[in-house]
Amino acid sequence: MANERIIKELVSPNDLDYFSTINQENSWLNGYNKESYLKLLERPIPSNKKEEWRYTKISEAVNQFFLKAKENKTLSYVFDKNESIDDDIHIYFYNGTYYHQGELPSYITTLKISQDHPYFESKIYDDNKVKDCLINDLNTILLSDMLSIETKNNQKIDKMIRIINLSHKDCALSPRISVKLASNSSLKVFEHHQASESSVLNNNIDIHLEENSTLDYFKLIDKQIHSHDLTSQKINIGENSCVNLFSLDSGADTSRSNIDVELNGDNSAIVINALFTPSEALHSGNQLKINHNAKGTKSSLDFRGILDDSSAGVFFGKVKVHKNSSQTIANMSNQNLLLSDYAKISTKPILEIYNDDVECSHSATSGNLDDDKIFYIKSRGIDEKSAKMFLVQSFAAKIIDKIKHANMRETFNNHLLKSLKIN
Amino acid sequence: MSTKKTLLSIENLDASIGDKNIIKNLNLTIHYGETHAIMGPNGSGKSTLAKALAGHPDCEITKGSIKYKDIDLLTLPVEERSNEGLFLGFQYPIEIPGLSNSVFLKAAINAKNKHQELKDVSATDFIKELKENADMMGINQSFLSRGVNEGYSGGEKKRNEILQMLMLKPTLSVLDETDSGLDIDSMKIVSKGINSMLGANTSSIVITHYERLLKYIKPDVVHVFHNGTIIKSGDHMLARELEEKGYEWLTNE
Ligand SMILES: Nc1ncnc2c1ncn2[C@@H]1O[C@H](COP(=O)(O)OP(=O)(O)OP(=O)(O)O)[C@@H](O)[C@H]1O
Ligand SMILES: [Mg+2]
Repeated sequence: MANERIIKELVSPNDLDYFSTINQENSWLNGYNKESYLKLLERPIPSNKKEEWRYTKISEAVNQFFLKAKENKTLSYVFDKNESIDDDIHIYFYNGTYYHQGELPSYITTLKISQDHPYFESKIYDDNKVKDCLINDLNTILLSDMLSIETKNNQKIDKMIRIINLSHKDCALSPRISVKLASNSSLKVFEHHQASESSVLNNNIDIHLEENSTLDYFKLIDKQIHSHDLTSQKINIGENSCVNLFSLDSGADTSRSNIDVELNGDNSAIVINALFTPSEALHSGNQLKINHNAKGTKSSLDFRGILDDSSAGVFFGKVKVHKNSSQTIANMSNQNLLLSDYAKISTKPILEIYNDDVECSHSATSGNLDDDKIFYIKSRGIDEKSAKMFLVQSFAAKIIDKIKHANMRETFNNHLLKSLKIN
Repeated sequence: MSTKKTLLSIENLDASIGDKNIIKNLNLTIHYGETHAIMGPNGSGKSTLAKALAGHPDCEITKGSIKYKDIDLLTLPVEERSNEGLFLGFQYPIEIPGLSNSVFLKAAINAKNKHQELKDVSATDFIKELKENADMMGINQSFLSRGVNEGYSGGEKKRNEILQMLMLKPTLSVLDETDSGLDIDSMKIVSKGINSMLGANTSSIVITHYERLLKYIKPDVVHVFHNGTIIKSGDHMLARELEEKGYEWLTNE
């Protein structure tokens, strides 16, 4: 496109020099980073005239990312005593570093960019071979530490692994998470982004499942203040394996989640249930690309937006069923509730099907609270505010009730209630 | 006859929806303990009257007054009318997927309790009463955790309206065609529910097209509604006459 700007134009030449020096300090990354760095500089910033990026202030996010990166401080996290209140495994991400109390089980490793060079480098090479996107490149150019979770064959892990992105202020950080499940294993992960202020978080998540494995991944993004929260998530699923993803995103100046799923093994499945609830002038954008590359694969996407004030939401879902993927089932739905006349939503579900033997559906609806329902509830003595609250909750319940894990269901429900303020 | 206390008094009421004047100069007085049946052709304004009583926002009162328990009803918001003991059984009950019946009912009861400066209902009392009433209405336990009217059949929705009424114990219930679409057994069940609630201190307006219901629920007065107002009133013999002769003999006069 003629009018698209590239990163080089957004960042001052001085800053660019500064970042290239930082890169050179990490000499082991040099070769790679230089390539990535140069590539990045030429990377176009997508225009928000494009459907995929509508209402998304991505150039502002990139700008802020470089500005904040210059201010990054060297603060470290100090544990309160007895921070963990349950049996789960808690890992904290603060100011570019992962922290934990006591010993981590052998299947979890935290990699430090300053120490674990070869491993780190190979991981980044592996990841980047398959990824080609702005968020990914930004992550590579100014890396934070990495968290790696890798199960062994037949390893079923019952404990929830909680990854908590602590509140940040004036930071630009690029955490990386790698989750690999070997054959016949299972794992549960809960990733929580606490409310940050004036920060840019540029997340990179890589998920890979061998055959017969199951991953439950829960993601919660608190309302971010003057911040940008970008995620590029790549999911590869092997034969008879399944990933269940739940997310609740309360929005940021830019909250952008790119999820790319490759259903590579026969009978592999992805189930995504998501709520996004931006208010004020916040944003929440969801981009999904699902590729059905094998037989008997299943995808089920259910996204519900609850948009208040002058917030903006985006749903862009593209499900592609390739030629050899017979007996595929693909369902995609995006429903939105607009609580204010000023809230906006752009929704685009796309199905591309190159096989006849498939069962596919997609739908998108947007609307306001139903006056007849409000009247019915009020006619039973319940005041208007509570009536609206009930309707919003009942709309969200269709997602929340699908969480089988009781603890998580409660966590999500509590966060939902906190994030809603109905007038 | 001793002088009876008035519960509801409608005087010279005009009500419109949009630009259309639907209720025209209506007068109706209901005493405590009375059941009034309202019959009348389709489109004559019966549901509009029910809406006017419940305070539906689409229904604009352009003239007249409604007094309920000596309160000017028209000044009360919808929810307060309910909390003051007015119940509307909808002709077309609304489905609210995702909001469970029991959560909804408990909130409704607690809203009323709060209005009367009473404590919240205890969980055990609530469940006990809900179970008893659901049994009486032939509503399966599994329905109670389902969404309000979600996927209910027409008859099930009507029985659920009566269940809500039984739980809320209204002073005045306005039942808009609660008998429509009911099979014979459901009709008996619903009538039983309505009768169990009627007493010296409660009153009811039963809107219906069929004399059948009035065999079970003996009305004190039967009104014929036409063109937005009551054109004739009588006892339950009038209902039988209507069943035989239709409305023409009245509306053509
Ligand atoms: N929202 C509305 N907009 C326009 N006209 C309306 C609206 N609601 C009701 N009306 C009109 O008001 C008149 C009275 O309707 P109402 O529903 O009160 O009749 P009814 O006596 O209850 O009929 P039925 O026996 O069929 O239930 C009808 O002519 C109807 O078309
Ligand atoms: Mg009607």
